[in-house]
Amino acid sequence: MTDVTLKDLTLRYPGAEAAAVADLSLRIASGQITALLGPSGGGKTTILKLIAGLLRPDAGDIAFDGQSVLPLAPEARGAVMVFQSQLLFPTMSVADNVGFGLRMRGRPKPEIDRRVTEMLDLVQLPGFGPRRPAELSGGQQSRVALARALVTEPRVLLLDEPLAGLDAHLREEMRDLIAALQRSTGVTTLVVTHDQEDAAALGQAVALMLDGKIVQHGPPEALYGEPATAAVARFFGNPNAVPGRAAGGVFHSPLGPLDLPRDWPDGPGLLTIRPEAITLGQGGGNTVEMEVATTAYLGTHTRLTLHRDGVTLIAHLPPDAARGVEKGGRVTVGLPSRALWLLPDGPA
Amino acid sequence: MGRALRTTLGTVLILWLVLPLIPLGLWSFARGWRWPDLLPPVWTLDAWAYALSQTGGVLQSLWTTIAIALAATALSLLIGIPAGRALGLHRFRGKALVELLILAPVIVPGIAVVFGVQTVFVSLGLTQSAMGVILAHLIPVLPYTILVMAAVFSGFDTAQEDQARSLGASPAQAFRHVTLPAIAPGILVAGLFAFLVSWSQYILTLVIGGGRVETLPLLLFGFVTSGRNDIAGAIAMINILPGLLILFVTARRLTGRSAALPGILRP
Repeated sequence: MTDVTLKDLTLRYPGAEAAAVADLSLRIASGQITALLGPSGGGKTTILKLIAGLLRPDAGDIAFDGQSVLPLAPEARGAVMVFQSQLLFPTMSVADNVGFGLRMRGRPKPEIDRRVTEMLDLVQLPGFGPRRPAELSGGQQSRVALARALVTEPRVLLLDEPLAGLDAHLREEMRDLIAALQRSTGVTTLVVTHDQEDAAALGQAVALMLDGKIVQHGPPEALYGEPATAAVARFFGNPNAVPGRAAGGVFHSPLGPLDLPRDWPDGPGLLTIRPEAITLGQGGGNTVEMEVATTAYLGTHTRLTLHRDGVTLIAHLPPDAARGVEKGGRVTVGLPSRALWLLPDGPA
Repeated sequence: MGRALRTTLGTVLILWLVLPLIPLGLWSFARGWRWPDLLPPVWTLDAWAYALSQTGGVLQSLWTTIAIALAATALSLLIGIPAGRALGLHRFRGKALVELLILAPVIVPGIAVVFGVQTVFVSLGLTQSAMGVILAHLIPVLPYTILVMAAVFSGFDTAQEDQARSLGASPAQAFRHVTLPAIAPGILVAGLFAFLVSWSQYILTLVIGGGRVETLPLLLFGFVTSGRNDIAGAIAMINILPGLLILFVTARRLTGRSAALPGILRP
């Protein structure tokens, strides 16, 4: 079990204007999966390479269990990175790929053969050893790459977008496999992803990185339900933000007074509610009459755009409940007070 | 139509390559062959007996040529692999100029530079030695190895090396187990080019070797100018051997076919 601490990490690529990673600090809990979530191209892969030792930071420190690993070469760190493009060695068989790390460590051949067989069983590719990487599907290559990383029993496992490029059903299989392998090995794992659903499904903790900064770090439920800023809420698919002022447990807004779930410090703020928490008709306390600007049937839910007094709310309703709601009509919606959350006022 | 065209092209190509060799081959078995005889009046193995005898100097010259070509090949790969890597993988200021300079020996004829090179080599004490000839051969050989290796590396993903390091390989292990197998076919091609270019050098060997280093082309030229067409024919046959061998071996290795020419002719 290894915890990883990143402290004030900074890296600027030669010739680049802005730093790829600037003053980044993050604590990755021991023995669980942390998802590093953020938009594509936000420097997340750079962070993995820094931890793996493939890049050297310009400033800052990386520590495993409190001990700096900066002096250690990549091969001595015990932090194995699995690249997004899998990077199976094309000149080697699947078995030689999986056994690579053990061969480099000079382990005896019978042990390597035994461990390779075990790992291929574990990733559900028994008997695939003699094949060539080019003969495998994308999903199979991902699993071989995972087996190749885990066979060395690393202290830290670094996964770069392990689910990108997989079909929907393969994605879920791979998610379950990663979670199961992590549980059985207990390896401290950092998964980089741009998909909030993958992050929530995989990560026991999620660290959201926006504009090069960790803006919120906690269990996925907290990032969904209790976002730290409006930007966090937006990233998790919640664009609802109603300006107003909290006073004595009531939020005064253009929608009228709304009961807050608990006492909030008085002052201006942005009220938010997840689109799927909004109900049709009475329910959960606050009710507001609003005008339906658009409706869109999206299979699992129907999305309504609601207007009133310059405020726009997005609501996701079960298709059954939304039947009969017409564009241009007026509906009464419930904003359950337990689902309300206040964001600090201001930009972002 | 397509087949007829291919057959015609193949035939023309074979005639083009083989026809000039026929008189040489005939000469190596002839004695006193003069105009207007269509074929030699007397057939003999004398020229071959001389060429293959221990005392004639041809065999010794053959080994010298092989040794020099092998050494030049090895040295050029030692330089060409890292240089090709830098050119193939990195962009840097003045790269176009560097590429032009590397290509320069291919554009500028050897005879234009050989006397300048000789002056430098004399002051370094490198003339009249095999070592000097090997170094001089690097001038025409290096452009081929460097440019072939640059093309090979431009198709190589260095993330593979990162992946190997991350899995526990030292830099040397990553090169040995990941990079080298990936670029091996390119090294083979570059090496064969290097060998053949060194093999066919004449003027550099003549001037830098100063008569002390006698490779096959030098020996051949000596017999041609002294009018011994029969022995020259035999040496010429020996001289084209590596080129033919390499053609047949590589055609099999690189394309998976038995040889290039039958590939063209195959119905």
